[in-house]
Amino acid sequence: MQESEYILEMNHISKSFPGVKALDDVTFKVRRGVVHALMGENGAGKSTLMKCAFGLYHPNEGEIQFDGQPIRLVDTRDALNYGIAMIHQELQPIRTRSTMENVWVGRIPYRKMMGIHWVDDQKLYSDTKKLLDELEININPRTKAGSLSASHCQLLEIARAVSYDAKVIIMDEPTSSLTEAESELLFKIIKKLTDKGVAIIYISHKIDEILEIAQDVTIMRDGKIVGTWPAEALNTDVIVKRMVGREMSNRFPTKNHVPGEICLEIKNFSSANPHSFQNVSLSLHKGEILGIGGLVGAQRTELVESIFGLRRIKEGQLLLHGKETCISKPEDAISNNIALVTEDRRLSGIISKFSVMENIILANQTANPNVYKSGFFLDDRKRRADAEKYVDALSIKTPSIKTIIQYLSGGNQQKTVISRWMLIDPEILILDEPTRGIDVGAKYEIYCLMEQMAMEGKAIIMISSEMPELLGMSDRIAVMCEGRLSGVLDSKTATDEKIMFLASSYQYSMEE
Amino acid sequence: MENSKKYSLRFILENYALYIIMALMILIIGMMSPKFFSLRVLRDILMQSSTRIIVAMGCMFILVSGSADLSGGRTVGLAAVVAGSLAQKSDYYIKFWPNLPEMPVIVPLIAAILIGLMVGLANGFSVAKLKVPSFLATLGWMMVAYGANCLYSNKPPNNSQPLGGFLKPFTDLGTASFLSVPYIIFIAIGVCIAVHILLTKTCLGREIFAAGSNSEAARVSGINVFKIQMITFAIAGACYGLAGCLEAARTGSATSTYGNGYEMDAIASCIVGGCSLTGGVGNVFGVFFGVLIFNVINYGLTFIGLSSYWQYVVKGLIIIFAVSIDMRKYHRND
Amino acid sequence: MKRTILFVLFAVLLLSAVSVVSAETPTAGVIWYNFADTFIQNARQTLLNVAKADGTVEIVDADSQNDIATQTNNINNFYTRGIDYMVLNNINTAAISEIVQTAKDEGVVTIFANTDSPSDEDFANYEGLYLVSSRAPQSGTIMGEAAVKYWNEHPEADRNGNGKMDYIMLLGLTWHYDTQVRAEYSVKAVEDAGIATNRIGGEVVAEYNRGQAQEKVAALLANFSDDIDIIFACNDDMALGAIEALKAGGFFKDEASFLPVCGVDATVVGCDALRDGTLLVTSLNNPVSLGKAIYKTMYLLENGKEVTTETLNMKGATVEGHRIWLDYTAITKENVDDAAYDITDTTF
Repeated sequence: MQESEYILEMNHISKSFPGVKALDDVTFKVRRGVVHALMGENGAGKSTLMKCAFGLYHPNEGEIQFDGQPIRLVDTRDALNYGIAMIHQELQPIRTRSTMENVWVGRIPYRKMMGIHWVDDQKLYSDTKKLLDELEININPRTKAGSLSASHCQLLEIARAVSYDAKVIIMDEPTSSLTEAESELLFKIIKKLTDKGVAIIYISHKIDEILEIAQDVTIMRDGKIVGTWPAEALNTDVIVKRMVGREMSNRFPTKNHVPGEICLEIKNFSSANPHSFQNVSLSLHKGEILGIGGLVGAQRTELVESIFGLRRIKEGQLLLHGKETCISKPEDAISNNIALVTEDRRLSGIISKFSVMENIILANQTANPNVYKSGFFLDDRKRRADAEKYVDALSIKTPSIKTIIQYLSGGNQQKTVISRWMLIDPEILILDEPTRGIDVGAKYEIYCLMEQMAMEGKAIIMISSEMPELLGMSDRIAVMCEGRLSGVLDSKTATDEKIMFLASSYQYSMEE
Repeated sequence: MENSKKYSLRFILENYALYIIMALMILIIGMMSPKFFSLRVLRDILMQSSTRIIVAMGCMFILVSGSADLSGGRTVGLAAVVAGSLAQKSDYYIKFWPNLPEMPVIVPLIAAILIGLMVGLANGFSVAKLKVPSFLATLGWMMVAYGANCLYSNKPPNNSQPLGGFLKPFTDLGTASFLSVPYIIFIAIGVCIAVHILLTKTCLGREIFAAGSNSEAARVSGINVFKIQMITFAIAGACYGLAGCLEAARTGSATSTYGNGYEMDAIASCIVGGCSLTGGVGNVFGVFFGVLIFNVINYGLTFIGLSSYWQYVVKGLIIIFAVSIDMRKYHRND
Repeated sequence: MKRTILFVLFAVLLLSAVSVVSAETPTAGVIWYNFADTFIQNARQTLLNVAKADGTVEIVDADSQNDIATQTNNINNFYTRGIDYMVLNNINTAAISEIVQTAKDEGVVTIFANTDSPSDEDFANYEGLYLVSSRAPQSGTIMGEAAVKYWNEHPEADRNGNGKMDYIMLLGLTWHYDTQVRAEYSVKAVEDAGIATNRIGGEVVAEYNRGQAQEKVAALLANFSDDIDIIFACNDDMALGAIEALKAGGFFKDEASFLPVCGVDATVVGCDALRDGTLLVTSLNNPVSLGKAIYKTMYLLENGKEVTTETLNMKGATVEGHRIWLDYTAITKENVDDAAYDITDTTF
């Protein structure tokens, strides 16, 4: 039999959901042993296409060929049997079970004795150990999955994919929750896999990353394929242009805002949790964007959530316009005009069963219920007016303001959450990873919003794990490491290296 | 294409399963005995549903706010006995409180609602402040309510006898009619309307939904989730109390066994009526029909003389069938 | 180590405490099927009151909460604790022989109270076995006989004129012994009198609950209003529920719209209904007699006496071997005052 050039071919795939045509005559071919990047804005259909390839969705039209043979995928089990594995955007290992059980779940090796299948612990351990060693992943097979870091969970998923003897591994934004160092480790393992002839389909918004590791790049837009190119033929600008379908000369808006007087000051902030941040002092000016950088585990989220009253502090002062203020719950923060867009959109941001409108007005309706009332009852007209204003102002792409928010793309969900807080007209806006998992176009819009708010004299704190974002947006960058503030840099003079140095070397800098 | 989809058989079946099943039941029973199509049957069914509707309304608050409540039935029982003990004729020979004068009907009514409210607040405090999972907290308070009820009814001279000899204005609450529609139906429908307005037209209602579907996001948005939980449990408790009082009035008696199992009926009715066990979903209309369908089954199957044994089987199957069709709505994205 | 010593110390203390108690007065472990049952509650109170006043036997009691598994646990707990008498208001009627055998092995005098009788073999097997019970079938027979009397005195009682007595039977809990015999013997008494019967609505289970009975009868009434001749209920609460439904359905307005309803238990509200003329008949299983008979049996045994009708010396009680039978009393409008009893009375 003649070997096909492509390991996976998806020909003329179409898929509709009620009200949406998610994929429209998509043809997508993956060569053996290469990293094939799949790019596009959120909602472009990347994830849907991959779910078709993995048997999670069934295409309405089109055929899938694996190794030159047409195949039908009824469910994910079929896909895994052919050798197609997928590492999901949201990894959910079974936290209470060991790494090895997680890798082999559903296929635990057993010995048969007296008609009963007994778990073969020894084989389970040695198989896992062999697998992890081969990939040079440094995890003890007996470690509980719940105690693994985010990056190790990712590696665990990869090990599981490899354990199925996969020929194609789909990775959906594998680095979105990883630090740069952890990402490097992932790339090394990807290299090892492609050397063995495994094809990787790599979905990511991080263009630098893709240019670094991918050989082929396919770009999608609005459920259609824009084209497939070798990575050498592309650069950031070209990719962005093809993804967005328009020119994007700049990734960041020009800084026009001017910081004013100090509006928020924290002194000796220490968390009630001894493992979290200690002794942090910071100040924030009106009309300033203060970036907070650091590695995962630097306790940045804990710090801003404490400022917002979500977490308890043991000691420390918080001064608003020079006056000491006690903020012990979010209501206090909101009444002092502080807003927080949390890191995890799904866990603590959107209310997924609510409409866009309800999500936008949620905070303001609680803080100022009278705005939306006529008499004793809520007045839908007033609610709608506010929601429509912000849907327009932030160009949130939604069929209507009554659409349930979970059907929107990540970027539009994020803009909805931001507009929720803009509606209470905060003086201080805290954004925790505001652009995580969001496509380039939407990112730019969010940056513009931040710039515009800073221009209006609002103070913004932005936590980010992306260096370009920190450097491109902030006026000053505070860097944290293991719960301590290791330094504050002026963004005019800051560089990647300086930030990385501060982020990873608190102990070191203390000794200096 | 959109339009054709909207009216396809599958769409209709999925969205109106509850009503279709109910219509079918009524049709089949009516065919077996045409007397079923009468105002009297309608009145009977509505009357039998009324206390259960009030219990289910309370239960719906809890489900929407993302908790579960097992204390409903026993709270109904406790409220029934307390209300009954305050509504006896002065010349009744084993009067619960021998020296108590005859009181206006509002006194036992308020007492019952207050008792329910107290159980509700205890539930709310355990869940919201002490962080006991609602399933367990309400199980605990259910036992406390039942124990308290047994202790109360066992007080001499009553000694666990069923309470009787209620004043006429009190029993009228449950049996008398206005324009040949029993008061109790008006009360139940009034409660439904009040709950509907509260949930859809007020800030509190929206905050309950928000806290129920994502309590973390609600908290970040400045909603006082503790307050919301206390309020939902308190409202639910008050509903149970009201239902207990009406149950005593309707049957003209009260014992500590009253209300046993109502909480499960209420939860089942809510789920059949479209509430989600994970919170944040629910509407009054659906729950109203959820309760009604159970009572149509109860009444209709007895009406045609079907043995109780078969009724259990039919009832069970209908719950499974109705909910499974309803679930298809949420799982058709593949 | 410290903890082990403490634990051992604690265990020793506990054991000695238990043995001290059991050394002083003999203890009876009493297991009732359900504290929430009015009748049981009254019998229980009587027994506790009498024992407290007398002091020969100490009573510890437990609630099976209407659940066979709980009953089994209660039995085991009492054996573990150490008791001299076991009084068992048994609901596990399928396992009587096993229960008796365990009692024999444990050497505990066991009194079955107000329940299905152990068989002759069981009595032969263990001489420490007693039964104190009302003759449960009597409660059914009383209903049936009252129905026959009414039927014969009122020719219009056959409302649809089909020559049969069309009845609704309101059942309590179908596995419950009382429900079984009451349902069986009431109809048997009617049929023994030569009257044909017809059951309407099949098995109507209302779980001894007034509200449920009311709802079920309302539904049956809407369809079979002209056919129903009589309603038998396995307790007064259900009978009263049926009466409520009948009232709503236009009955009990005058003499002509009377419909006979029979109950069991002679509760206070039941007797009220007798006086009102709505309830036809009920029967009293006197909880005070039950409580006292149980206590007196233990009292006699503790004093080394034989249990006979004479030594027991209670009205309505007859002793056959180790079986002590208590009679049901039929209560109608005429003798309604006989239904009164006083659970605080401690004479025996």
